[in-house]
Amino acid sequence: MNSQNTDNSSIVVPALMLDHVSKWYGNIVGLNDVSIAINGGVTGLLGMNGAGKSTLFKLIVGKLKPSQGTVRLFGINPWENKAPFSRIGYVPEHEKLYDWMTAFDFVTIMARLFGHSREQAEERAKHVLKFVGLDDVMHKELGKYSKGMRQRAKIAQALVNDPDLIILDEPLQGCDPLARTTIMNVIRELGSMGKTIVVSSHILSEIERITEQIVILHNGRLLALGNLHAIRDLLDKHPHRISLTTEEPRELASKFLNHESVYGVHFPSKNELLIETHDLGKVHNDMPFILDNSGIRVTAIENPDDNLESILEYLMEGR
Amino acid sequence: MSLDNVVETINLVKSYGKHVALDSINLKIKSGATGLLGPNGAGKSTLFKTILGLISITSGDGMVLNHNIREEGPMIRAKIGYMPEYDCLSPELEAIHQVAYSGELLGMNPSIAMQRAHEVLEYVGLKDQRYRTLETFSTGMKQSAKLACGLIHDPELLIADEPTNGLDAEHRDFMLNTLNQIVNQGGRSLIMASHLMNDVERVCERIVMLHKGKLIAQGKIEDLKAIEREVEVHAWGGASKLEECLIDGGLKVRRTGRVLRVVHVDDSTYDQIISAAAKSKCQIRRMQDHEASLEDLFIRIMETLGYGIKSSEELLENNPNIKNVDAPFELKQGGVL
Amino acid sequence: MTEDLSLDSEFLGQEGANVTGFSRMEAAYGSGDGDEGATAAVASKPNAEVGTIFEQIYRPWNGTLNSRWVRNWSILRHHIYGMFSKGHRPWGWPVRISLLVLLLGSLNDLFLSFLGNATGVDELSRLFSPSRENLYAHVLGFFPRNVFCFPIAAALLVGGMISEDRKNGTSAIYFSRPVNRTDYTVMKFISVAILLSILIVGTLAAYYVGDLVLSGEGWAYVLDTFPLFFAAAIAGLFLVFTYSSIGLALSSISRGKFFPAISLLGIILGTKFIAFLISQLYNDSIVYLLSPYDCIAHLGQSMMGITSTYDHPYTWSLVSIIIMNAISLYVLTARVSSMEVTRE
Repeated sequence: MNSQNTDNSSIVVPALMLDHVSKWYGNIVGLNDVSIAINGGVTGLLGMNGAGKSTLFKLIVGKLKPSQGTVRLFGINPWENKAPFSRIGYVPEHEKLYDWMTAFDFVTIMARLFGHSREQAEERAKHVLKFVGLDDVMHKELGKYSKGMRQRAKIAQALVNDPDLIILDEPLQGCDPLARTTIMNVIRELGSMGKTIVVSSHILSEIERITEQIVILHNGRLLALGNLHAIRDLLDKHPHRISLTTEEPRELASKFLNHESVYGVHFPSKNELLIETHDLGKVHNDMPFILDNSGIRVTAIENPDDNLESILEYLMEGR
Repeated sequence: MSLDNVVETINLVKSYGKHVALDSINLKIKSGATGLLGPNGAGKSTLFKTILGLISITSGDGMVLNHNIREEGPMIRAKIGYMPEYDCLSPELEAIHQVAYSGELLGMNPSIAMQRAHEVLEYVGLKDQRYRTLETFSTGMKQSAKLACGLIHDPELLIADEPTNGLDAEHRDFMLNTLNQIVNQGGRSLIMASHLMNDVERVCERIVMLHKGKLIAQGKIEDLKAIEREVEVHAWGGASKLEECLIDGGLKVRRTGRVLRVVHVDDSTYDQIISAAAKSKCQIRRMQDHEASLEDLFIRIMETLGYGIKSSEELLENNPNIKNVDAPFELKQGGVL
Repeated sequence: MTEDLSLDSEFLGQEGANVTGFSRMEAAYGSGDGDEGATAAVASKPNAEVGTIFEQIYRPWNGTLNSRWVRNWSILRHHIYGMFSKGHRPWGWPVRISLLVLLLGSLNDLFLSFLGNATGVDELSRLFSPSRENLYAHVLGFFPRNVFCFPIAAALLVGGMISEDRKNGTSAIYFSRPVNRTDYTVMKFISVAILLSILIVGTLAAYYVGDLVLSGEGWAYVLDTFPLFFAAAIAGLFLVFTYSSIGLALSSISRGKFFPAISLLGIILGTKFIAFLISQLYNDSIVYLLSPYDCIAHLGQSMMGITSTYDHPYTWSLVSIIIMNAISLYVLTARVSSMEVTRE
């Protein structure tokens, strides 16, 4: 996820950069030699509880100082200089909200902290609360909100100053499908507009809907980084699989056996042909022609293990 | 009222002063697993309180397990198990004692309650942790403990409010399998309220959906879905050409990025897609019938009611000046991905 | 919407109707249109972990559930047994030890009387043996019991009684079962009252009976003194009832355990102190009507035939104490009825 631009005339400062960052608490290691640079787009952050995600977030928002290495937001060290915070929106997972405040007051105050005048702050607050669908309850106290509504209030607060870097820790908890889809939609769109967004979630299917760029942490270390398909490609101990659903799997198999990149075929069930290959791209390139010319009808094509769940499973083997 | 509905209401209305929380609800929840859906504020909490016989209703009638909700509240609560959404366990009590106490509160003899507590904690996978105090439990374990409290008396109907809240993949899996087991192996009924459509689909055959206090939809998920059947195609290296090719071939196509959906006419649609791919020299990484999921159903229902999905334009429009605190040196950003 | 009555569905109030249209499409960020140029790196692996397998079998239960009073008894048991053994309401160790110390402290008159008898020091046994004044002093004497022991004990007992159910959300466990809110309140009240009675009236009984046995008094003595003992016991119960109701009302207002405890102490000792100051300054005892302890002490004096230390008639104290209890019980029931089972 380093910038693609190699134009030497402009300095490219990533929105978020960690350089050999380690953080330990006494004997416990929170993060161990992690280096990441993210500039624009949406990145998913995955890892089990205890993998280091919350440590990472705290380092990013300047709540913790790294034991080793450097953390930079827009080129600035957040532990020393609070300047980057006007450009960041942070939605923490568990944070107590001020239950006695109304959502409107809460978001307005946040906006004022960024330096807006009262009128601007109130406008901005109304706008962003309307956007997350809380406009008809914005004058109710946060303590009376349901979980999903609190979640949306937190997101509103993070978006109120139109930040360039947005960090979301389990943002979709408690949200109904409508709110969830809206928020996912907005995340994707903001990402394509050049903003930098980091989203963490346990729910793999949600991350998959949001982005293909992922970072996987495990036991404080970086386990994998990049586009999920590219990561899958690198796991060559596990050959890629292509599953074809057809009524004539054996006949179809014979059409593939001579292909140089196919090294095995299986028939897991009556109507299924499973092809194994180390070069997914090559096989897929030739596949439409082979199928078209074979005269055999195929009703489904699938890469059963080219997804986050399988990647995590393979990576976690033996860990 | 019919005997095989576990919950049935007739024109149930509950209002708090002027605010109508439940508006003429006619529920028919059958035995088995039913999902309770609805955006926040739809009235689910009020519905639970009514079903549990905890609040008085403004008008209408209701029966739960053939007991009247107006008059037989305590009877109903003795036959239902309830797993609340929020924390409800004493942190300093050991799990075994909390669960046993919750059984005693139902009227179980202390020794029987203790024996059942052991059984039910083993069932939910907390056998080795049952002597630990609840404050040492992780979220997943607490959810299981809550479930145990709800199951101790082997109720005919279990109401689970967001049972997979805050659980990671492994615990979610376990919780959903356990709920499935209770319905399939135990033969009990379940009403499961959740926002996670995937979870609801895994466990429930039927749903009930509320919105702003009204009953929008109820019934078998399969029977409610009449959304257009489409074939989803993930194209690599030439999606737009593939799209053109398919349209030329007379198919109805919509595309977002490299995901295409083609309206399924008949089985020849698949052949046409593959030929089009060969012709446009485009890879097909994935081709599957797109089964509208429960989530699709939910969103489609909300669209029917006039609630669309918003976009970031709506977030950014009418933007009063955004204030930036200047960084000490100029930043020029490189290309956007 | 199409309609087909063979379907088990209902949409927007119409039976057999279902949901038509197109479902939403979306594409993940970064998926683009053919993914060349994507980069990835995979780290190398360390150590292994062990997995577990166990069998999950659903076990039904066909027992019967008992009636309301068995349930209520279990609430009582939970709170009272918890003081003495594990597996019930976990009273903290500091609380248990403090209560033990207070219990022993309240028995000081018994010890001293016994000491008097054992050592033959007449002064001692005369000073501390049960007499009208001493029985009164045991439950209602201000110093030392009503300034140190009883209010503190009451405060320790009521602290988290109701507030912890609010804080931990355990009210959902109680009320989603066929437990009546009245029963819940009454049982909690009774458990506090029983524990407090052990301290106040129980020690009174130990004092009276203990001394009787140790000094070997005869039946005539019993006939003489029993009515006094009985009156003191009743006064003690008034004290128990009042402290419990005020204390539980305070516990039902808050979510923590310190606020009710400190407020109870504040009310009991504070009102006494202020009334004392005012009576010294203005020579009028009327403000004692605001102090729960003093109202009961006044009633106790009239019941036991002790000269009243207050200027106003005892009926006023009676009315005052009834009002205080009524207010507390009202607050308690109002707050308990607002405790949540679900939340929106």
